[in-house]
Amino acid sequence: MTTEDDEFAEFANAHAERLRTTAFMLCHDWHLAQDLTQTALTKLFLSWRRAVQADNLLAYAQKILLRAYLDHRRRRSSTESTPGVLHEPAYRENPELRLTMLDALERLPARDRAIVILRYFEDYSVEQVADVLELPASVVKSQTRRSLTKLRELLSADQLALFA
Amino acid sequence: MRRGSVTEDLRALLRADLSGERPPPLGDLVGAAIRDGRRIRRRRRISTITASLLALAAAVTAFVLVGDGGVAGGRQDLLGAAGDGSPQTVPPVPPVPKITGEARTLTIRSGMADAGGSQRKATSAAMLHLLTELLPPGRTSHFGVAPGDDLQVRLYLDEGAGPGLVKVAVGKEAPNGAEPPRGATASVTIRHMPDNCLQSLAVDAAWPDGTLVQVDVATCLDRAGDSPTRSDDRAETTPLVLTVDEAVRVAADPRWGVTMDAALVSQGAREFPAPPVFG
Repeated sequence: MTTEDDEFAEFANAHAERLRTTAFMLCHDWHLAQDLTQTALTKLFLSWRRAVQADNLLAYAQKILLRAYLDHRRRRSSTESTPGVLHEPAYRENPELRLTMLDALERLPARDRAIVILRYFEDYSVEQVADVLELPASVVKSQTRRSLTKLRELLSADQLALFA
Repeated sequence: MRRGSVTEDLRALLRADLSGERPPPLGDLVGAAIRDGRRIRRRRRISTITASLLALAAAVTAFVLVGDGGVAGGRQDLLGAAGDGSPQTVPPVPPVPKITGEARTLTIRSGMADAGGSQRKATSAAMLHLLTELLPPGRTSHFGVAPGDDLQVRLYLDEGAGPGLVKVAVGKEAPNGAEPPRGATASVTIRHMPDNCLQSLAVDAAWPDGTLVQVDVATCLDRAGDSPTRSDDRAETTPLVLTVDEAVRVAADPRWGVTMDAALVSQGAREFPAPPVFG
């Protein structure tokens, strides 16, 4: 193994768990999260020389991960049904069933979900999210507002109280 | 809306949901990513070398065609223009394609592996066995093989001046369309990389059927084969244990491949029944 490969391995071993958690937040599927993380790490390995010049290597890796996730969603979009349209959520019929935050997030479009995860879980600024997702900051702001409104609609009353 | 509070509340909800999850073990995620990355990198190297060879072949073809036709044609034109056959009519010599000093490529006719013997899927043990046969006399130690199906091996060679690391990797990228035969001629690229002590000398032998043999000769020891290590463990510099000619001879040996002679595979299995895995 070359020194560069060692450096990559050190970084990847230190951050693989976190990247997989981010991936899981995005896709709500551990197996897919594992695949996405491996895909992202492979791409990072191939672009390591360029990556190490980034100001924030973890952010760079997360950017690759997000791209992998959005690519995956795009590839599957033609075969998937729209969540909540064809499959009416059970919690609407049974108020006792509580929708978790992850369930609620899953009902957001992929890009909006990524915005919420980055903004409120990874604690990115609007500008950082805009950079990672290559969107104008104004779009990030407006989509964040829409997503929060949607989440409020989806979450149960006791959860709503948390961010009323 | 309480911006800071929303952040905290959302994060708290997400963390609460996460805490109820039972994530599967991470497993060898990083190792798998590295192996995939190396495979892709190898394929890219093969593609680059193939493209370089095609460009070189095109340049040589152009040289031959333009050299003959151009000389003759040029002479006719110039003669026609000058009319008297004066010394100025001597046509200019077409430029000879140059290979940059960074890497040089040789075409080596290595012959073919014994066609009589049956072929079997190559193994790391067979590679170690063949490598020890091809190396110049010296003491070999620290044998290692890559995990999984990766055809990569390494060892230390000590010719009396201290041990030095030698690595060999074999891959194959089938060209588009019908696969050409293995052929008897390898295109060998030699590169010196002073900023990478683990590949101070890198020799790649590319065969017409897409087989690529990579030989890396280091000038520092990579103890990662024994155990996970810090990069500063590599500070110890070592002699380059193979000359360019010796490394080329190893890389261009026709017996390397993703399939190898069955006898070599058997001998390898006997000699290296359980070689240590590195990486």
